[in-house]
Amino acid sequence: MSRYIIGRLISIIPVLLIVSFLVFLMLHLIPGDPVKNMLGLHAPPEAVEEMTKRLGLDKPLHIQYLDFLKKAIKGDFGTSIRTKQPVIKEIKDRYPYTIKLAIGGTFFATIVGVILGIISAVNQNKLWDNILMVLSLLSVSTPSFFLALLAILVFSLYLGFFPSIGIQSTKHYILPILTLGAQSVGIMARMTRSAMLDVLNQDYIRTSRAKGMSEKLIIYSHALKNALIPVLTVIGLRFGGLLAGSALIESVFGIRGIGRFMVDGVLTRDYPVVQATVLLIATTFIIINLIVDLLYKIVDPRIKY
Amino acid sequence: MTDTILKVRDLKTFFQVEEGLVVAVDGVDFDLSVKETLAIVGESGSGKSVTALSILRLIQEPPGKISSGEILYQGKDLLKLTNNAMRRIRGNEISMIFQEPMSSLNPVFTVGRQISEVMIVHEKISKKEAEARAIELIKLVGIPNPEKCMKNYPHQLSGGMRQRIMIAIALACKPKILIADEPTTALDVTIQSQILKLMLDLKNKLDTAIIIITHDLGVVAQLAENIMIMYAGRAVEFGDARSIFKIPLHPYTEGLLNSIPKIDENLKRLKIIEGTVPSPFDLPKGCKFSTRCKYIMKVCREKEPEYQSLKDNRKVRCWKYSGAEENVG
Repeated sequence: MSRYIIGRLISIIPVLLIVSFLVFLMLHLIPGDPVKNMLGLHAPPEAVEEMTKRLGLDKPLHIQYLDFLKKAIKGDFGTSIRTKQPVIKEIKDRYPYTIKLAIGGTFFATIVGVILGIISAVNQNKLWDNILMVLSLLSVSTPSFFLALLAILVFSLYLGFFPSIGIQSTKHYILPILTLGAQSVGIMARMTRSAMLDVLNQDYIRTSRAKGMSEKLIIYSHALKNALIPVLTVIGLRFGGLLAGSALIESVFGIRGIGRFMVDGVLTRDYPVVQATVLLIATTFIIINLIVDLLYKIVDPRIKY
Repeated sequence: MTDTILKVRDLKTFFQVEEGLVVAVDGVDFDLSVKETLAIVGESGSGKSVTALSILRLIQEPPGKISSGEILYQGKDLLKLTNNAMRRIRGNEISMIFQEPMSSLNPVFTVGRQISEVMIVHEKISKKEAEARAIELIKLVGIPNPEKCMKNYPHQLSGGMRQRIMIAIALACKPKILIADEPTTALDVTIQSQILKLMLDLKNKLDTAIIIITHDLGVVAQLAENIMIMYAGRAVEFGDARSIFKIPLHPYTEGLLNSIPKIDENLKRLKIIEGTVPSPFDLPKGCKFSTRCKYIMKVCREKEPEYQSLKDNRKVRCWKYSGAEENVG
């Protein structure tokens, strides 16, 4: 088991190398120049040249990449071209917001999605199932930024329940988490429904009935534990989606999170920021999926590492 | 018959499927006495499993439905019980083991839990007590090292072991009736005979009546006192095992018994019953076996024979014996 975990952790290294190389390449291949972004289009050529030199952007690409790697190993991701702050400090400030949003959104989506999925499966093809499946389709197909704007309009502006901007208190988290997770609720509900329907047709469920177990016990214990196996996979994948999707929500709710930081970085060609944030998100995603893989073992005793 | 514990009368179960209505069980009657072993024999699709599932009301509805009949267990009609009352009977007074030991146990729970929970549910005993009894049960079904087995998951056990666990679960609450739906079909021959012997031993120990559903006449010969033969959802013959093996009355039973190769017979090809089972959507008008029967008469094609009682407590559904009891034996 511990050997498995160590192996998986080590395997993060090549993944990060590939990710960093691809991001580096892409950033430098797309048009746009961070220096011109910073100094303006009509800046004197000498100033541009001096700044380019100072940022090390005049060196050949492979040297730039190796420089980046050398520093990154030491934990130095450079200074943001835009904010002039060390990238690592910016990330430390911003990362907690994003991770809280993503975890909150995942929990919200999982709990609500699984419950709705069970209700749907148990009432297969009946009224509740139909209603829930239409709602889940609606949830899957509503873009989160649109839902966020709608939520602000209704809950902040008209009803005044929640603040519409910033992230000072727990109350500030509610709307962003709900809107971030909403899309996944539909996905989780559909996944749970189909997994439950599959499990409820298994022989061992018939055995449980023949043993005289109550329908409640059969559904929430005997069937659910089996149905959670495929659902767990989706949780891990959705978490990655929410992590990346947080950029939109952070922008709408004015949260200083890492997603928004990354998008701003891309827009201003702030190379160090994009590199660092992409690597961080990739690492988080890999670790969460490692945790999900370990959780499998708790749910399904047949899995061995 | 003495001390009837289960009386099934005119049981009719159908399934509404896309292609139409399938009447899987059509008017089945039988009695089961205390401690009796009854074998229900028939080929796939003859309605024997559906009969068993109907007794415990385990038919999935929809598409299935028990449309009529009575299932009298100790005088109570099980078909009229509330779902809760029925649940108290299942696994407690009437329990069931299934054909597929590989998939009949829940893969994510330990064997110990799956045995003890049936006692916790029905006898309201503590978890500790239930576990102690589960260990005893595992011992009873002949698995070595029961404490270790308790903590095993089904995938860690062989097919034969799993079927033993299924038997332990089924017998945990000392049921009056055990329904075994092809309990040995999925097992290899040596394990088959072990499991059958175990069932027989336990039946004698616990005084449980057994309904064994099978298409394997070897199993029947080893276990059953009485036999009911089913064909196309109907009971076609009933009698004690010895007489049926000696003198089969119904042409179908005769065909079944003839299809078993004898050890001293020198055959090039195995004997078969000509033709195939009629499609449930297109059953013949008269006797359902008329399309394959070698004794066919005119009346067989026109009218379905009654299920009539003959002497020696035998029953048959065949025109050959209508009003001619003297033909028997």
